[in-house]
Amino acid sequence: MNIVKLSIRNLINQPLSSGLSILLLSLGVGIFSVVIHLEYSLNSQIKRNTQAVDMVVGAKGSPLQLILSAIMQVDDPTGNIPLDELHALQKNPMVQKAVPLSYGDSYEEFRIVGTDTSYLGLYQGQMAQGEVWQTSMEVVLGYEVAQKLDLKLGDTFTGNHGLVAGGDAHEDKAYQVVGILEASSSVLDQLILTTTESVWEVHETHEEEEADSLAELAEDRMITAVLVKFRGPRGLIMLPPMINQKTSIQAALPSYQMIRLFRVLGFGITTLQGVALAIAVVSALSVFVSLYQALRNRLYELALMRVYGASPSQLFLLLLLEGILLSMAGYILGLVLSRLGMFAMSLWPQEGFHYHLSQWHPLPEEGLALFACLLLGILASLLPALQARKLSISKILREA
Amino acid sequence: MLRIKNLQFHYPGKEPMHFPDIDLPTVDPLLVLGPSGSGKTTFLHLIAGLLRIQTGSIELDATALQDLSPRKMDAYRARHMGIVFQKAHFIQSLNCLENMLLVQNLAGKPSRRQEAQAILESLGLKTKIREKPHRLSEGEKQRLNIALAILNEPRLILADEPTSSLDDENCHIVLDLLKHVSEKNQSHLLVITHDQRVKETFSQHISL
Repeated sequence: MNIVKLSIRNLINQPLSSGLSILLLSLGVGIFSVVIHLEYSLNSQIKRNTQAVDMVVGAKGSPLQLILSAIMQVDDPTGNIPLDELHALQKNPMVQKAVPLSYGDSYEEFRIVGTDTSYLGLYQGQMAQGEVWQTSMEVVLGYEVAQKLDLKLGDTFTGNHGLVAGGDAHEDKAYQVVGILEASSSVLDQLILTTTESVWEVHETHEEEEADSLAELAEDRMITAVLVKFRGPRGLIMLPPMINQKTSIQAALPSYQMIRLFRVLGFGITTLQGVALAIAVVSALSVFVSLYQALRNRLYELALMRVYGASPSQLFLLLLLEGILLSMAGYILGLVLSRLGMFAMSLWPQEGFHYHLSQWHPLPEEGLALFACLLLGILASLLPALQARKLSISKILREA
Repeated sequence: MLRIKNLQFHYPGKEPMHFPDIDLPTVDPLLVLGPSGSGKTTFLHLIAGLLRIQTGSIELDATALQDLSPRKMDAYRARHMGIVFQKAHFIQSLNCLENMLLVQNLAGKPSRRQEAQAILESLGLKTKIREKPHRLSEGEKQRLNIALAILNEPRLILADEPTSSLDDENCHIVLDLLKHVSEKNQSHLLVITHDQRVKETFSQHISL
């Protein structure tokens, strides 16, 4: 039986006050940890997906909606734009790459996106199995799609109209899986990719009866958005205002829209971090009250330990250890709670948008939180520990 | 050998207290009798080094206690003195055996679980070894108190009013036990009390 074991036993011996201190601190740490993990997850997901694109061109509407739908694939499209707009951008000397996107259908809540193979290049998509689509109605599956839907090369399926389950099925046109992508931790993981023509083909079967001729049909062809990569900064400066002012379509800049988005989210994140800090401070007070109360109740015990040979420093260490152990227990429980919380929260975006928000690995800020908890534990136990060091043994034993 | 000479103590704002000289060349038990307020506890605390000696000297087996620094006195007390307190207090978060092991540890001695267990058994606490102290009866608590005092084989056992809260039967059991263990361990035994019931059981006694 030594001082460390004794401090643990002392804490266990007061389950209510120790439990309350640990619970309070764990709530503070838990909320802080969840908030920074969410911020980190969102940041990294958005950064990974937006850094490859300088500008998004789509139908007029909310620019943030256009970015979220065309890049992150988590919102409804703002509408469609004529195919000619893509050709115009592709011919523009300031544009290095203009990638068409056509979407609006899904399969088991995973979006079917019609595009060309340069889309894979934006996110360094590599084939894990099979090959890239060559002709209409051939699809390549993102890594997560293949995993979740258990689809293999050669399998066929039909898409549904709309981006959520329950839309009309395009039963007369089946897609065939010709390739599966490696995991890229980008939006590619969540998509079913095919040619733009496939998307037209699926929809035109309904429309062709109404059209006067195939030529007229081809003239009316639309796409949903174009992802643009510029050759240099000149394009970034000149093209967006020109498109927004002189055409009936809109250009949105992902970097600018994401800053706007994070400005809004940032307020909520700062507020939650403040709440976590307040809880942590209250818990430090609780640790202090618990140890101070314990000191008053255990004065005779501490004097007794001095009689049996404990030095003043050992009593100081005993109370300091109790404070540190309380704060460490709160920290560890806080991390466990945060991981459980993140797991629960990640189920929602994974179901709705198929994004992973769970981050299990520790973040540098959690290292700082460990240091802060340690400091809180030490500060809260310092006064009781100093008082224990100065005990007058004879006086306490006489007054007992 | 226990020798106390010219011992005085002065609490601030109070009259100085004078204590009788003691010279015990052998380990015969000694009873120190005194009424309330006569300075019995102060006397014990001076001998145990819980109060600093201001005037006079205390010598135990050639060690002059007044010359020891507070730190050395703490270590000396832990290794060579056992104190039985009037009210039995223990570390409440530990069971009886763990209290014993902690006392061994604080005295800087290696953990001797079997020895601690044997002492508890010899004092009739075999079935209470894993019990928390607050679950013991008053008599059992006083026996555990004695067990803690004799655990490190002290040269001097100091007992402060060890019988005042006990009935006649337990009073004699505790005194017999103290005399028995001091004789067995060849330790000095100094019982300091106001309890006149114990007077006839000691051949030597002094008054404060």
